[in-house]
Amino acid sequence: MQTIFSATDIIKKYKKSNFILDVAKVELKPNTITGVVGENGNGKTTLLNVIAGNIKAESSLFTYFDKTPTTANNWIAIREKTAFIPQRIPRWYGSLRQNLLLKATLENIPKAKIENELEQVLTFLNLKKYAHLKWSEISTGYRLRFELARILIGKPQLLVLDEPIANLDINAQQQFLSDLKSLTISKDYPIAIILSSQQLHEIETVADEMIFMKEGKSIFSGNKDSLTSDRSTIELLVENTVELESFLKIKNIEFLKRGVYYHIELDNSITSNAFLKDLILHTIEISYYRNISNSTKKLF
Amino acid sequence: MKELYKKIDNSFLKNNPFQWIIGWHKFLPLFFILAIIAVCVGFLIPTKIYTYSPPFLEPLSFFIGFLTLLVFVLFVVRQIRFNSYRIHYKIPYKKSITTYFSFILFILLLAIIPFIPMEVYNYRVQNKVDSITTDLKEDIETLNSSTFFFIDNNNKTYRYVKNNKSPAIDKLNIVFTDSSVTINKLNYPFTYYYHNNDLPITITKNEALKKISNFLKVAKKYDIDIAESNPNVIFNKRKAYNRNKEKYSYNLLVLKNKQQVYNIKNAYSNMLRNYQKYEGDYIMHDKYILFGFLFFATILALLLWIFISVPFADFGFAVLAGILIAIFVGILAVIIGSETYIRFLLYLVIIAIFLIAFMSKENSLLTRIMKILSQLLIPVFVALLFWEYFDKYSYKLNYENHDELYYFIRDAFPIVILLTIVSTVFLYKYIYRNSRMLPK
Repeated sequence: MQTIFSATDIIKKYKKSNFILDVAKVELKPNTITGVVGENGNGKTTLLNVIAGNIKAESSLFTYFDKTPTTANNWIAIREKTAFIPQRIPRWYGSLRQNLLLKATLENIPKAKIENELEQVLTFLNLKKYAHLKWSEISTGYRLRFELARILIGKPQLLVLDEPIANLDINAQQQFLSDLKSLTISKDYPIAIILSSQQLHEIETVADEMIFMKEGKSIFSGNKDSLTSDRSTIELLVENTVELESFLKIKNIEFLKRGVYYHIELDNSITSNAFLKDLILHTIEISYYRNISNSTKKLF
Repeated sequence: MKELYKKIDNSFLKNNPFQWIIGWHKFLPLFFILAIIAVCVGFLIPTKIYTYSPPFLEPLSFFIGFLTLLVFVLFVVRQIRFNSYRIHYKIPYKKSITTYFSFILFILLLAIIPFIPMEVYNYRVQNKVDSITTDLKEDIETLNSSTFFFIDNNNKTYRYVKNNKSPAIDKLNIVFTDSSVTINKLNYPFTYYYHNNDLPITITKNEALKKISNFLKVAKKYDIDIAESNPNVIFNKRKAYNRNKEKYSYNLLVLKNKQQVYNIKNAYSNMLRNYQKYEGDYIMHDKYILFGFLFFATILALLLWIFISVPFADFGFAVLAGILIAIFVGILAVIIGSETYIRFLLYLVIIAIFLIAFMSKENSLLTRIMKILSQLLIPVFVALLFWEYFDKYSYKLNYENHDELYYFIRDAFPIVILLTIVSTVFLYKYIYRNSRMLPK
């Protein structure tokens, strides 16, 4: 299988809000994670819903698992291999084990293999000791991991996640993203994951491909390394802004203010490390420093 | 106990997930408990065959109905929680139609429970009346036959004076008077048949003694005054009239007051009339309510199934559209006035809805709403067709009173219920599966 999902010219118009989603191309390959980033209201959720088959795009050429869906039966076959986790996970009832068992039996997994399958998923997501718990007895982070466990029982090959880490604390975010990364490592189980998020850096650490959305359009799509240019871009937060701005003026370095952060684009001649060294030498107290040269952050 | 239940639950879940969703293992025991309570209530209420409405039956039935309602609410909550369309997003479970059948079946089972006390009570009343009337019928026959064949002291045979209308002999009843025996037509289905010609039937002496003995027993049972209590004495006193020198005929005119026998017969016919009234007005009415209730339970089950199986917005818009269409058709019907045209209009609306629902390949909101409406219109469509048939049927039978509606409901509703449930099989794929599968 070359691609799990591919689509060109995805167009979805909303007459009332005058919003148009217009994405030239999306391609999701096996064993890859694609991150969709962008500001709120720029079409991330719409794009994910189109990919998950929840929303019909007006003009596009889709292929799922190398086949173009035309009939309801095609869609049934696609749904069997696709899983979608919305931003707000619908409440489920009963214990996790019970839900996994129900899912496994509904998925027609042979009875003899069900327990083994359950054990595998629970072990993989480190949920064994929580399997007896119910929705009301677990935290938001565990609800998400439980949900992941539940959809993994069906062995989906396309996993679409809308803002999955939005409500998780930093540790839970790392844990969840690490779970996703582990999923894509197995060669026996080809899976393509696409997820949207506002947590740019966290997503970029696990994503192989990035899509940056702005006003309904994909202004960047591809491997994040391709963002790298000759000039380094630094994101900076300091205690004394006057001091920093005078330092940059002296050095004749251009900068942009993004809220409390400074986005500084360095000349070809200055490397990120050299710039950092210079800042330290000038005793500028740094609160936050990040090289965003190959991050979609610089596109904001 | 808890562990055992968990084992059963797990095993059921593994082996039959679509029935596990319904929760048979939880709700069937509750159903049986309710049914047993209902049967007990039906048995505990004292039977009074002459009473139109038995005491405590209605309040107790309502109480059982309330308990059933609680189980029903629990059942629906579980279905909403575990419905395969809701909990697993868009996973197409082809076998989920079995869940649908079980869903409807369980609601119908619950709907029957409040009627169980009534049915048990009716069954008991019927048995009681049957046993009383059977005994009485035999007794009256004994009393009748004992006087029937005998010749009086003047050796004259009583003549059968036939009614001018000459009713069939098996529909005749004998009415006693002091001087003659007359034959009247019976108004109720109790038949008494003994004779088919003007001559008395003659019997042997032993048979005569047996009949006299039986007569005395029955007469004693009803406190009938008898001049003589020994069968042999009676037989000897009333010397047998030996018409052919071999056979005996005899007179058993030992009754002091023949009116007593008449009174017993009269009481019997009153009892029958009361029972018929009871059966006609009460039991019949009861059946009509039961079928009507089951019909509405089916519609409710269908509505609930749609509610839990389609997105809330689709359901809400479908209900709204249904109400608006009904108002529109209602106004048009008032303007048109003619029954024939109103029917034509209804058929037209139903066909239009079906065409919009199933001709378009688009999975738009309009087509989804029309698909939901088409499912709801199936009972209406079937009822309409049955009404067409029933119009001719009732005309043929010349029903002239409000019983016609009872007959219609009794005959039509079970068919409408059955066809509504079965027809869903053909629409299921389009309404529930494809709508969920296709992007909107």
